[in-house]
Amino acid sequence: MASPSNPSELEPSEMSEADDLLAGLREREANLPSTACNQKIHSTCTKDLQACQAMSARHRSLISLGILLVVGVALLILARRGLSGVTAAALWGAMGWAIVQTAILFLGLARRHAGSSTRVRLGLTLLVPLLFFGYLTLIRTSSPPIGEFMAHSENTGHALHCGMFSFVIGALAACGILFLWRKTDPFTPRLSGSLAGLLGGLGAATPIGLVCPGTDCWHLWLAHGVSLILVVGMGAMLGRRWLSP
Amino acid sequence: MLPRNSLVGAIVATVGHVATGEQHGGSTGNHAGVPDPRAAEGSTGHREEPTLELLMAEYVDGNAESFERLYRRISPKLFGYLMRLTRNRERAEDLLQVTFTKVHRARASYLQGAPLLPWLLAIARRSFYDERRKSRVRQEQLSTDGELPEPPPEDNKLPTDTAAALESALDALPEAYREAIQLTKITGLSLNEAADVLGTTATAVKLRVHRGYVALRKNLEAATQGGT
Repeated sequence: MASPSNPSELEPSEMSEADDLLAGLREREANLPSTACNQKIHSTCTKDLQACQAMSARHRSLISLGILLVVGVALLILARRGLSGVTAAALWGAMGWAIVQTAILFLGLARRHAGSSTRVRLGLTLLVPLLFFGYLTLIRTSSPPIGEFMAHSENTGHALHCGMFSFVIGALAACGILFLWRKTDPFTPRLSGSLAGLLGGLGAATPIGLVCPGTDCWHLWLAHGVSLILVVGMGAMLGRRWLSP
Repeated sequence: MLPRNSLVGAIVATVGHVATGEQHGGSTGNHAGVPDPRAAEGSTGHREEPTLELLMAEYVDGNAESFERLYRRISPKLFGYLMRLTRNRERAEDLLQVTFTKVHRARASYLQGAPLLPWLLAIARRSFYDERRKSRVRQEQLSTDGELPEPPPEDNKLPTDTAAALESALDALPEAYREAIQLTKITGLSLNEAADVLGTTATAVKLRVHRGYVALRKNLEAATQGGT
């Protein structure tokens, strides 16, 4: 006997049969764990139970913003001698990235349980680094061939120094944010971790970009851009361990 | 003998509802994660129960009685979910303990107001995959006498009724489809909540459920032909 291929040909009783069958499975699953298991869980979860200081998402977001602000201000103070050469355009750029960071924080982490879909968060993780590379391309003043750039040891040395510094400061900021949001995301901890990495990476790359004298494209891409990608990757790796309960 | 035509037809019919995002498990759960009262406390009580989220907030505040109530309401669903993942009662109980230990340790990190059931299911799911990864490594190791360990005996019992046939067909589905059907149709999560637990999008969950039904139909047809 051939099975019916068109659902509309089915009787109403047949239409509801799948519901009933699955409901039957639900009933079968209503069996409880053993008493010994229940007792173990109860003793674990209620022994010396005390109130915890639970932090809201808003509270965590504000502290995260504070971490980014402290990192940015500290970097600018450390490099105050270089600030004299900062242009108004660069300052506007830095402000723009500060807004992007705030958006990542609220859309990607704070509103994790209030409607921000995985797609939006994944989009932020992929799109923002691309935008940052686009921004670096826009603000470059020269585009020498890669061979010419690498031929000068002072160029590579400066790029390496700048990149390492960006990475270390970005990683520290990202670790602070990850620690603040620890154990909050059992759903997509890697994605949340990469968003935290993105926040930390941008938090370091933006102020360093303000004071860094290097303006040719290879320096910007290799030192400032790649360090951001590395911090995002580090965030994804740490997120799996730190953000998952 | 299975009522093949009506059973397979009903599964096919349900696909149409899934494609439009309609929830068959609607009677058992809602967006706030309130579980099926039938499963938790019998079919007689109609009094207002506090939400799971409220009980969790009280538990975070150090109220042991709230934990008791929370556990009573949530454990059948979690245990059922783990039973289907592991297909083994002992492992499911172990994982339930691991899950609640993690919940206890992470209770201060629970973001207040967030739907609790998907949060707990996601922790249970991660615990299962972590445990499975570890046990795979253990299984690959040779025993002390140099012999490969004996494989666990397979359950070759033939299904005796329709529910058992459906259960068996469900178990034979690819993991991604089985999980999507389990969470949306049996545990009673919404598509968005199931997407959260599985770390994917609601559209992907809908697609997995749809494909799962198609595969389920094939499995049931094969079971029917095998049984005749």
